[in-house]
Amino acid sequence: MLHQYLPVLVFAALGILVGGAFATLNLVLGPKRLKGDESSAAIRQMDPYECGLPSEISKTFRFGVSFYLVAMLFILFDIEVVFLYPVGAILKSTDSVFVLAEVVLFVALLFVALIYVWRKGALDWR
Amino acid sequence: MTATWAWLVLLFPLLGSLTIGATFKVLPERTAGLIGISAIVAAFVCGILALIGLQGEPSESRHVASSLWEYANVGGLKIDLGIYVDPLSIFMVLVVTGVSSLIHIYSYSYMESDQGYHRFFSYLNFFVFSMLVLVLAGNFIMLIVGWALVGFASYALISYWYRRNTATKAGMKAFVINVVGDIGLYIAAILIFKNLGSVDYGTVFERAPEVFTTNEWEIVAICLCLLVGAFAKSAQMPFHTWLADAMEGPTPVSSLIHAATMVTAGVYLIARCHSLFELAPTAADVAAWVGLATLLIAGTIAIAVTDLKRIIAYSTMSQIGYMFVGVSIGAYSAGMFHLMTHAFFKALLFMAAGSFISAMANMQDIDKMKGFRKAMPFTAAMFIIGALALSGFPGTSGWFSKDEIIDFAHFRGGMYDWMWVGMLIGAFMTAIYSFRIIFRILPGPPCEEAEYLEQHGHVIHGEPKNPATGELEDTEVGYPGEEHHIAEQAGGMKFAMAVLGVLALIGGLLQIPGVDDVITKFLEPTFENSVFAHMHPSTEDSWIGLGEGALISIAGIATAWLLYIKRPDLPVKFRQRFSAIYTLCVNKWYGDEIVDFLIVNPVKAFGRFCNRIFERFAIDGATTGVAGLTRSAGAAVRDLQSGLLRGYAVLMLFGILAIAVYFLIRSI
Amino acid sequence: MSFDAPTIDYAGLSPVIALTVGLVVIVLAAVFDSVRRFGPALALLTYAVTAGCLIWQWNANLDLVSGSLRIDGLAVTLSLLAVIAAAVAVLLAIGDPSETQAGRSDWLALLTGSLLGMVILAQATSMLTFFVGLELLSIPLYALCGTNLRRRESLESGLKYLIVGSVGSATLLYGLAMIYGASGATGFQAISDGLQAGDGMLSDSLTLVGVGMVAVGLAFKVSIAPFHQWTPDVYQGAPTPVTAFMAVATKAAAFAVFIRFFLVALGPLADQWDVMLAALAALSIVVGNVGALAQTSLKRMLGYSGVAQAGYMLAGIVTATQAGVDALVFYLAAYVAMNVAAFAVVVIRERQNGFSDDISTLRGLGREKPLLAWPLTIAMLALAGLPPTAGFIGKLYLIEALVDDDWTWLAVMIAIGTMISLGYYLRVVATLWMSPAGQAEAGAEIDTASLPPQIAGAQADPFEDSRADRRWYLVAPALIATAAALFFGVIPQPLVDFAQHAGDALSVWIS
Repeated sequence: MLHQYLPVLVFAALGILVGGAFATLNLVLGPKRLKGDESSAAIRQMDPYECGLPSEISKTFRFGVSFYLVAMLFILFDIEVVFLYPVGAILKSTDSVFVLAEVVLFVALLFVALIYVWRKGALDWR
Repeated sequence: MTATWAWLVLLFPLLGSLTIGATFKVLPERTAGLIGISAIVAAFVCGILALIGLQGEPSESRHVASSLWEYANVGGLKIDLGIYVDPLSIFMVLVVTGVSSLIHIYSYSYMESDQGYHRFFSYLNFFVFSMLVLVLAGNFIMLIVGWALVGFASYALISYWYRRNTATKAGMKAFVINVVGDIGLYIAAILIFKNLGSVDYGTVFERAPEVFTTNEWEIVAICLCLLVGAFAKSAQMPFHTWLADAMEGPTPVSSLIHAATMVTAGVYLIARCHSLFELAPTAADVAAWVGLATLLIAGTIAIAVTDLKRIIAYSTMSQIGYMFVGVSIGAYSAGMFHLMTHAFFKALLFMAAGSFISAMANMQDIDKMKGFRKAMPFTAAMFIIGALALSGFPGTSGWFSKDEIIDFAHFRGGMYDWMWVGMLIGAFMTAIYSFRIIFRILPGPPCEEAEYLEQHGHVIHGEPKNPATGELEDTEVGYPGEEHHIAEQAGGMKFAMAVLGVLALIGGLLQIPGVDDVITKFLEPTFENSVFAHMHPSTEDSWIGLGEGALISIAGIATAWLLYIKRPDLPVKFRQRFSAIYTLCVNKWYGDEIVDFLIVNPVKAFGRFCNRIFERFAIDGATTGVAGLTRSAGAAVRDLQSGLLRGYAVLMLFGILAIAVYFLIRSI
Repeated sequence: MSFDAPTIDYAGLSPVIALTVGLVVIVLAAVFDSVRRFGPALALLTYAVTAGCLIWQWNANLDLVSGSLRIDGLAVTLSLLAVIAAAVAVLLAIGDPSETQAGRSDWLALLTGSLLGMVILAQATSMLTFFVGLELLSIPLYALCGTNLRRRESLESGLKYLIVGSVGSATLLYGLAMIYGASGATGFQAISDGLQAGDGMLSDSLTLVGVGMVAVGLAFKVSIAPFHQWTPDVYQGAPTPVTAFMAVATKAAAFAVFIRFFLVALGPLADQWDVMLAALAALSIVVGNVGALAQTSLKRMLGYSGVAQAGYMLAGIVTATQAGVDALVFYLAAYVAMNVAAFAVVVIRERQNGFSDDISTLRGLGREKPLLAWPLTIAMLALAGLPPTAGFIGKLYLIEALVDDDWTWLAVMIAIGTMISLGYYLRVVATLWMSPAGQAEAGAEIDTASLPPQIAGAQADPFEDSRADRRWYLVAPALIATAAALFFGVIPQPLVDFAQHAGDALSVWIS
């Protein structure tokens, strides 16, 4: 009965394992900041990751609009591409022109959106 | 053929109004006036032709329903753009168009120097058209259409001098009260359709006795709703407060709307729906008692106030009260007869009053008028004729018509005997206030204005002032024109008044008890299914009634003479001795204040309450709610009232909660 | 593995396809300078083709795409109304600052996207398409409201609409989830069957709360009180062509799905929700009419009047009869004509006097520009339901349907609301015709100091077009809509047939 939930369990365990492993490795392998060292490299190393958002934000901090724009566009296209995935998985086995046409149509629409975004200059970092 | 003529009756005023309205830029003023007059005269002629056509039919088929086209067929409700021509509607058509023609002719001269001449005639024609739609309507929907159009036209005409604040306010007031009446009519029509499945006059009146038993609550409710409409349009208590204020309109308007036509719509409505009211005697009694109360109260006010036009306005209310009593107790032809004679003499009185007011350079206070006897002999004569007819002096038209109603109440006996007594008292007061005006403004040494007129032969030039507030006015568009015209010197006014004077004198001869009874016989086909159709006092009783009326009228005139000529100190003493009663009357029984207290103030308070709630959200939100939301919204909208959103959210939440709770309760 | 491609009726789907293709073309046109100025023409062409497809499918009555869409009389008629409103918005927006500032074709692309959402919504017969259509309708509209980038009112209204609209969508979605839980189905017909089959599902509290939440979500979209508060603010702040579009097209589409969802999917529950909807309708009539009385901004007043009108229309659903649906669709069609006429005049006046829509700016218009004053006059009289206009017949139709189904008290509410509404409609007419020509109000008050720098810097070009009253693309919609409002008031039968075509589509489900 419960065995159908096994993949979930496996997935959860994997997630914990991998995530935990990286965090631990980081802790073990990463160079430690020495007390009293005020160099910029040392400060930056206190940040959890070397990209993305700082975890503590001062109240006066503002993001650049460009960041949001690109981030949102990324999410949009990212999610659209996710839809391609299941179709891609069955495309061969269905052996159907209809499905292929649907996918092509979908990609074409995405492509139009890309053209629009591109020509509008939304991808230029300002 | 009859129907065609009836349609033409409608067509001409509409065409006239549209023509004048559309060509106001190019048409010379006089031509506009002539178009207006000829449109109404043409309608009158068509009315007569329709009458001839109708009389050609045998009496049992003397009604024609005609439909131009099926206006709408929505679901089960079929509405024709239809008219219903029978003696009653033709009677109304003739009264409306006949008197209106004369009023148009009067206005042609009276409004001569006004800057809005075109507008005036366009409105006037439109008003007549609306009124004709009202009386010719073939179903309740058309009736509502006419009812609403008349209300709108009267609003436009009352606030015709639209830059006078008092006039626009009065127009609004009239409109609002009329709209309350419209709601009543609307609801009545809904209920009629619900119960009878049709709104056509013919079907409704035929089916009503089959569907309803006498005094069943639904038919009473329908009739009471109809009465709300009738009361509002006819300025009966408690919807009477607009009529006196409506005197802000030009005098021809007062004469057209507030004497001859519009205010009688309620009387017509009751007469038209008599088969419904006979099924709901309770509602009919309500109408009769309200009419009686109105006629008495308005009579006392008319004795107290001093504004010439307002006295006549209250007298109109009082006379309409008589008609209400008449048509509600079953004296249909008497009520309609009084409607006709009243249209004659009241229009005449207003016209003569307009002439006096012109001579006074727009002043309306009768305390300031004196000794016009010599300066304006024609106007004075006409005014006396009108007042005689109004007070029911023997031989005049008012004598025959008013006493027929009074008599019928006595004839029905019982509770109605009280009405009989009330109406006799009312008649006595009528005579007093009619002759109060005459004894105030005609005899005696002439006042400044009258003297000036006598010596120079033309009207004194006064400062243009608002008669109600005394404020100085312009003479531009939206204000009364600078020149004034009196009947002695203006042909149109003189002609109209002369014709009405003759009619007011001899109009009663149409219906001399036992001699001709023209009106009763003419209206018989309409009322033949009524239970009162063949109930009327014997000829001898009628003459006894007329005798009483004559006595009371003469007694009233004598009293007025005693009070205002012989012993002018008496009214002053009376005023001091009974100051409470005097204050009550001169303040119009505090009608406005009561309406304010009971309706206007609560509504205002509710509005303020709502406003405060919303304001609270707005202000609170703007000051405290800017926090999280706007910050994320970016600098551009930082200081906007986004805080309002909090208020919204709270209200929405309440809404959602309310609905959820409703369903949770239902599901238990 | 074999795959059965669904049979797709492309003819039935043609309106959606036409709009989608048009949308793609307009989007592309937005980014190529050489074709950008053809944007309005492209949009109008798209709408014409869509309208053609809809008329071609006039008598269609079939399920599309495995029962998630359905093209029938209801869908066709209400989509047509939305398409007409969109076409009018395109015309009214020509030269409008909102359109130029947002980039011409971009604006049109948003409009077309929203219209696509409406057409889908009008055909939706599954909760999925229902929600997708609703969001497709809403999201471009949020953006459109804020397209007048240099007026803070516009930006504010866009933001406000977004936030409030999201609350509405969320509520709706929550409600849909509950109904799914109760019925185990997403298709409207299947929901109905599921509810009836389930034990006690018809009076289950969760089902009913779900119904309530869906009603609330839809009430947001059609601005039914007490979920209307955004309406006046957004109507006033949004660029007027957008307001015009929003006022009529959103109502048409949202009422389409309102009808379909409540009468088809929730039909078995009619006894449960009718009182709630009646209460909402009555509340709307009161709140809308009383709220409009005190307004001085014409657009705001029209917003409140829209709330009241939505209340009237909702009454058509309350009856759950075919006559009620007919009346609603008739009223909607009349409403489109009346509002288009009114908003077209507002657009023209705004352009002439620097974007002030205060009622006082209409002074003396009757004498100066009768060609503008008449449409507004007739629109107001029609909205007030005075004869002989389409608004009168519409109200009559509604009242008749209500009385027939024993909702007399609601009919009386409509009558009373109508009378109250005369107070503010006639005030506009009075201002138009009775007051003498005063000087037009000074330009829109824009308080530069209070604006953040990046916006204040853009204040340099106050837009004014003194010849706006001669531009055909502004005047023609006003005149045509006025003529329609009058024509269908005098000869209503064609519009009655139109409305009955919509009602007939539901003859399987309701009597």
